[in-house]
Amino acid sequence: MDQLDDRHVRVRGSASARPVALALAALLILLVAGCRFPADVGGTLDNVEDGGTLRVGVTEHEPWVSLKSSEPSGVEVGLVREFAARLDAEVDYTQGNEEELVEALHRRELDVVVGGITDRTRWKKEAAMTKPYLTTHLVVGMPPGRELRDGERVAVEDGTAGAALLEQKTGAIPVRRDSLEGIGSRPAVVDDWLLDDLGLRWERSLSHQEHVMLTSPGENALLVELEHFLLDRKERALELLDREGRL
Amino acid sequence: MRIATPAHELPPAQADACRRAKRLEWISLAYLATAIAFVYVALGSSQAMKAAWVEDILSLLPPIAFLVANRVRRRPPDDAYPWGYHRAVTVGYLCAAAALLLLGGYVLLDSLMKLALAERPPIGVFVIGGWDPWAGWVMLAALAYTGIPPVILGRMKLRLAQEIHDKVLYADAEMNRADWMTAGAAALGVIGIGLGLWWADAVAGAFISIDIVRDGVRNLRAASADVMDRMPRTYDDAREDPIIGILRDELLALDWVADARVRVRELGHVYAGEAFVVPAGGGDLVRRGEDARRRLMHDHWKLHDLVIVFVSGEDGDGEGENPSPARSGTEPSPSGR
Repeated sequence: MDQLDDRHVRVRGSASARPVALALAALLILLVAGCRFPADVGGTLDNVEDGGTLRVGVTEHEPWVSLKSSEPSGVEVGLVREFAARLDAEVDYTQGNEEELVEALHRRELDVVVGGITDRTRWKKEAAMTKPYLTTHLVVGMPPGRELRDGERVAVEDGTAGAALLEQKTGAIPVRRDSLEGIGSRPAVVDDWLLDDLGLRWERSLSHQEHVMLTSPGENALLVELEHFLLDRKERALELLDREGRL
Repeated sequence: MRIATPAHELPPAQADACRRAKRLEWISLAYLATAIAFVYVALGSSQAMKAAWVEDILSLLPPIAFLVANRVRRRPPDDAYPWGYHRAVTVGYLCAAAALLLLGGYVLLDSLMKLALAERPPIGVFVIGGWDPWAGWVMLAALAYTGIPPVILGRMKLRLAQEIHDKVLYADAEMNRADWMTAGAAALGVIGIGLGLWWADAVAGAFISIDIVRDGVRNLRAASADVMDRMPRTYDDAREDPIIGILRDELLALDWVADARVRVRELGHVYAGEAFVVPAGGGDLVRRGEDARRRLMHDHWKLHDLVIVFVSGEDGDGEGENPSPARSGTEPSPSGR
């Protein structure tokens, strides 16, 4: 009985061992031949590289993407531009809202979409997401030498989640303002890159954002290339943020 | 007077095999915990990886069932549960099989949907420390880790399963031995993604989930058969357990027995049954019956409870002339399936 069973298993084994061995051999040949691994399903990176065009969808979200001037600007636009330059590619921008850009991305009419998107995006199923390349925080900023006490009045930009988060996570009282411009050195809920500009000190993080870019799903060579590029340039991203991030 | 049997005990040889089996199952559980964690970390958006992960989680069930069953076996029957607690394991087995089937079905449907919608799996880099390799390599490493050790564990378990005639252990061993095929299929899916073949992943996921569904159906069937008191079969489900014929032959060999018929059912790890005996002549039937019962239970360690019922053999269907156990009739007939 046991013998019979062993033979049965061995037969099954050899039948499925063959495709595995074949696949591994094919893989080895491809790697030796210098083919891309992982490869793009649609060959995007090959098309973009060396004089091609990187099709980038942009949606306004300062300081990541700004569409105020004729040419898009912002932290992520800057990073994408440098990425394209490294690939020796042109950049072709398409403006739109996230939903329509992601739809185009999903149908491979765009290669990359940027616009201050974080890893909490709703588009994880439709698009491929890079690893977070930068983490930012929404923080309570305090003037140097002052502690955050219960009942403290803290300025918050009206119509943002900041006021709710402040009430939920601290005992402070939000003071809603149209803009944080010209508040001087007073307690405020701000993005962490604005602390220096306002002369405030990091008191407490209220929420954090992991910034990502979206790429066309299945174009894994492009995705890996972009991820390596972004992960190598965390300093550069911070530098751009410092320059672009103004009130 | 006692109506309940004592807690079940194994003869020394089987007790030793059982101890080793228990140790192996604990090792399996510890290993599986690390494997499940590893695959989870590497999961990404690969459908094949998801299916392999589900299969890994499900392979926790047989070791748990085996260990629980062995604990329950030692628990003596009481007034409320005069047949003991052995069946508790069957309940668990049935639920686990149903879960297996549902999960496998879900992953299968999911894979087929992905295939139908031509969804392309994105796999980027995996960040560990200052190192960021393609996540596919991490997946392949995780699959190697889940594919190779179970084969060795499975071989060891198979030998013990034969020794203690344990079908849960046998099912576990078989599942382990097939694990490398799951891992291999998932690896093909991941390599397929690497080669830019978007469908490879979903196809691999579908194949693995078909395997899970098949396991689920097989186990559900076996568990249902247990609940329905099907006649016991050998640990590998190849044929009816020869113990039924042997018990009858041993009863027939007694000079005071004119005819006998036996039916046996499985209570988890152990057997319980009734022997219907037509006595020849008079004598002290009560003492003879008790002796026979004691001896049979002593000689067959898996037989945990046997009730001997004296019958006249005249229940109107000519039983005395043709005492074939395979014949159906109004009398309790241990139909051999």
